Amino acid sequence: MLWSAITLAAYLTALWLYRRSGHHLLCLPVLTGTGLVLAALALAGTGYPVYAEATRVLRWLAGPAVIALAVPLYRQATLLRRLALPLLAALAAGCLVSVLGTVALCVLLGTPMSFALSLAPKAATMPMALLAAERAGGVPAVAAMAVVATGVLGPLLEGPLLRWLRVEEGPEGGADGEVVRSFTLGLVAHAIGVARVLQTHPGSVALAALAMGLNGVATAMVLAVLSRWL
Amino acid sequence: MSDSPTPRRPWPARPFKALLAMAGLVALQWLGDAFVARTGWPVPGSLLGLLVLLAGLALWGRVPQALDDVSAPLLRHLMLLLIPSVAAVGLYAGLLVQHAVAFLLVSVGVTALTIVATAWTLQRLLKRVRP
Repeated sequence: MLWSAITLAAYLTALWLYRRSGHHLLCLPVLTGTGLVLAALALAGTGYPVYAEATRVLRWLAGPAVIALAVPLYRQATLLRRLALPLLAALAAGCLVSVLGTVALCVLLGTPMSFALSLAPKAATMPMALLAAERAGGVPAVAAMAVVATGVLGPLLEGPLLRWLRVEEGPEGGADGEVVRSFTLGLVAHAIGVARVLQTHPGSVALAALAMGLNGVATAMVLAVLSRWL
Repeated sequence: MSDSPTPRRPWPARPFKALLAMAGLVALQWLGDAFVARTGWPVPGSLLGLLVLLAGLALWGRVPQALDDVSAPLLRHLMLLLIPSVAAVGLYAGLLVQHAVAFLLVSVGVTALTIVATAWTLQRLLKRVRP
């Protein structure tokens, strides 16, 4: 109970810091909150296993919260009706490249398979990535680091890459450019990508959220099949 | 968890229905976990729960107010629920340092590849749908 309360306090402090910093990427509440919890654990001389046992209820609640993701996904799914084929094909391409590319590159670089499986769901939204990594035989905490790295890098890399692909925006490019950009950012950079689209193209933020939701589900499924086959 | 500083809508007018919706989410989690334990499928139980709920919403045709009242705060404060799992990173600092090069190459390289694959596919197909 005490450690759950400390986690809550760390989270509220982290939330305050995040607002204070003007929603700076590196002040994501999950990062600073975890940092504060780790500092408290070090100060108290408490080991992680004790902390994990004490916060079991919090960790368990992440499950029902993931199930609740169905609500926003259902609301955005109406967008699929218009462009189902292109969007689902792009989802399949992006998801497969992300998961299989990560595992292939890790194997090539000689990392253990559990490390590869931890990085594999890195484009998925964090709660889903943690669950998928754990279930596939990876380490949730390592998955969390990869998820954050991908979320920060996605919006940075997307600008130059889409210019290179000649994804046009604005009046000449028509609406297609905006559709491509929003969906790609939501797929590759989960909640951070959605937040980025909200800043730059608020009109198509639902499309980014749809991409995030779909890719969370697709990544967990692909990883499940892959982990059974490996 | 209700003493967060976020501006929020007033507590659900019908707390009983909200409790029922929360019980529904918990039941879906139990069902998902039980199914996974029984079959040994490598998917998270929550994913199965999500798919069942999604199918249910599609059949129902709209989101019940009570479910919305429960899911909105749960999703808004998801980060809180993740902190205990992420805090395990201290145990794996050695693993991360040992494979730092792979971590960096995968983070940059595969993220770039994923962006290109997604954007290229979508751009091509959109042109075909509406030339």
